[in-house]
Amino acid sequence: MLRFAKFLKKVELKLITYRDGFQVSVAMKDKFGEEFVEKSAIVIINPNTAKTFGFKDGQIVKVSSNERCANLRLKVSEIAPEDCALIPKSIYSCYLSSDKITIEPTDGEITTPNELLERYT
Amino acid sequence: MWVCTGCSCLCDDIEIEGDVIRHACRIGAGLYLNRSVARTEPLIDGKQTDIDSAIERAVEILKDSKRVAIYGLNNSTLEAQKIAMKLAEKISAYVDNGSKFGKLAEMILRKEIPSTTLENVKDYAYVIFYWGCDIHNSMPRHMSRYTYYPRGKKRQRGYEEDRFLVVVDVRKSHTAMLAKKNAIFIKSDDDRKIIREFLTALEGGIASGDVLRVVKEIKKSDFNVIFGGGGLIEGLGNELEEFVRFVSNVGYFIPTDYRTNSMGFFKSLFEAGIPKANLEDLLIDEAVDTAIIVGSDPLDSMPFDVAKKLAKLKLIVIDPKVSFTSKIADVVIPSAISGVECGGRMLRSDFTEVELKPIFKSEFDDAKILKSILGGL
Amino acid sequence: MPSPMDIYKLLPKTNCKLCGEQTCMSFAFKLIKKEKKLEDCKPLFEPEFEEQRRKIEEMLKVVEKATETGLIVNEDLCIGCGNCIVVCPVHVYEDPEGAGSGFGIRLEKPILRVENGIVRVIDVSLCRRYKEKTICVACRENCPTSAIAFLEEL
Ligand code: SF4
Ligand code: SF4
Ligand code: SF4
Repeated sequence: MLRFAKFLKKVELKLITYRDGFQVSVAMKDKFGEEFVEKSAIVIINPNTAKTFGFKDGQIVKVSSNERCANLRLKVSEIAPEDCALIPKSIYSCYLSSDKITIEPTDGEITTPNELLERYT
Repeated sequence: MWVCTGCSCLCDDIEIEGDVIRHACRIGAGLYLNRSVARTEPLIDGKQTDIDSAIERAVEILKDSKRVAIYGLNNSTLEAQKIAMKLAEKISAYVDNGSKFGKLAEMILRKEIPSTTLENVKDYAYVIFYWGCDIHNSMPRHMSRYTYYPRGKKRQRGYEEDRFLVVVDVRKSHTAMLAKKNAIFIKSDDDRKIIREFLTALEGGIASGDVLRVVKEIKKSDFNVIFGGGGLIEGLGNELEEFVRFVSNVGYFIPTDYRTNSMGFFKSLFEAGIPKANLEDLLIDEAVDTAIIVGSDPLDSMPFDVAKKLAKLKLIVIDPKVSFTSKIADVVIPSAISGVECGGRMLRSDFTEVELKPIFKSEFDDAKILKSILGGL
Repeated sequence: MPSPMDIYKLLPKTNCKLCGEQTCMSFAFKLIKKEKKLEDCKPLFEPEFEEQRRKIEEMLKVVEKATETGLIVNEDLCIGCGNCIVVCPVHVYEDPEGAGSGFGIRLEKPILRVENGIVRVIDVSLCRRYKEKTICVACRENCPTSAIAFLEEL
């Protein structure tokens, strides 16, 4: 089973955005600081989904929706239902806003708020 | 005692002693402790200037605009909101705070849906619904300060005996995890369907086991309350009639819009007789060419397609803190943090008026800035 | 939070009994309960185990923070909601008008108090687990982010 896992490593999930109190508190502090990225540039999936598709907590993933994509850190938690991915409400979730997103592994770095901002202007 | 303006709980029991702030949650404590981090400076086209020139430039932009939208105001006091409404009237601007609670808030103001105060909830409520809101994250002290956990006049035996908690959500949120003894979590994929089921059950009809169990509890008390959040508003869409019937059968409804003075905004709008606009729709229709953004960061909350259109407008940002929107604005006017550096009044999520108790003073705040702009026009 | 198993995996696993325990597993248990010290495991201080020893030391830092009642607060997970403070039966009894009614706690020396947005252990001597040795888990049970834990439940 495990050997096939790497071929499965791309998953489409329903996107739910949610308000995370820890994210809110760092966003109130400074949106251009490291803590903001740490708390905002994340995508949470259910432990079972992670197992099925071979994702590990903490790895960086490429998240795509429509024609847009950003690199976020993957987290595993049961606050996400099995068929959904959770992204805390912020410029990241707004940038990727869509009903569905695709998640796949990447070697890239996490996208910074300034990189995102450039795509708006 | 300080009044926290971190969310619409407006907790008024906060003690501050030097650099130690007691009883405020992480959001409120952070608001106070990090007040001097990431502050705005007066800017015109990204270049430093002084505040008077920034205000002058804002006035010029407004004079040249065809149609303006005023957006935000959730962190502004009732006093500042009132001036914003005057400004809106003067230049026929659209006004929006970005919250979707407008319709229900207006129904509460018109007394078309029964509502109550959080103090009454604490003293009397038995069944407490949290529908489509993860209150633990959005208004962290809501449950411990006002609803499920504290003891009240008629609720002396504590949450395990004297309250019944119902959490309805699309996912098992942190709030849902608190539904343990004398409590239930109902996973919802269709809020309207569940409301209809409740209505049927309340009238003695057939419903699922979970719904019947809750209805049995509802019937034990004549004081039950439904807290509804963004998830519920989305789930209801424009069909409010059944929801109103549901609330009337159960008890009371209180919105849980975490935006600090969002209810104040709706009241100010209502009193000024201005209809609430929806900036996202206006942007899609390309109906505005300028926006005044007060204490809000739409780039951090609007979907990309819409926000990209916003970025093309002339933008005047009035904000104490650097935001994504302030980074791309034509004019940035620094303001005070309401409740920390300037006083005034705000409405709590249940429409109770609260007087702020600022610790510091500031030369400029939203009210003064909006007044100068109004004066310049 | 480390479990005895997490620690056991890093021990020499030879059941040499030098520490005075019959097995490495029971040594791991006692380490977490603070009944044994890491120094009691002599082989672990040999150079070959250095890396594993460091890892255990990291894990034990959490255990070190545990109070006399075994209550541990993980500050990174606490949002300062105050649930734990308001539900604590001791707080309700001692401060009915304050914490018992949902307000910030008014006791000079409560068990727990939210300071700078995070719950802090002020004085565990009031905790029911301390004096009466009763099994009370009210605070832990009402923390949805698991910021509160008890040693013996790990
Ligand atoms: S719940 Fe809201 S008002 Fe109360 S302390 Fe937290 S942020 Fe401030
Ligand atoms: S264990 Fe019980 S008595 Fe001790 S702090 Fe927690 S709730 Fe209070
Ligand atoms: S420890 Fe948990 S229950 Fe207590 S204040 Fe922190 S988050 Fe709330």
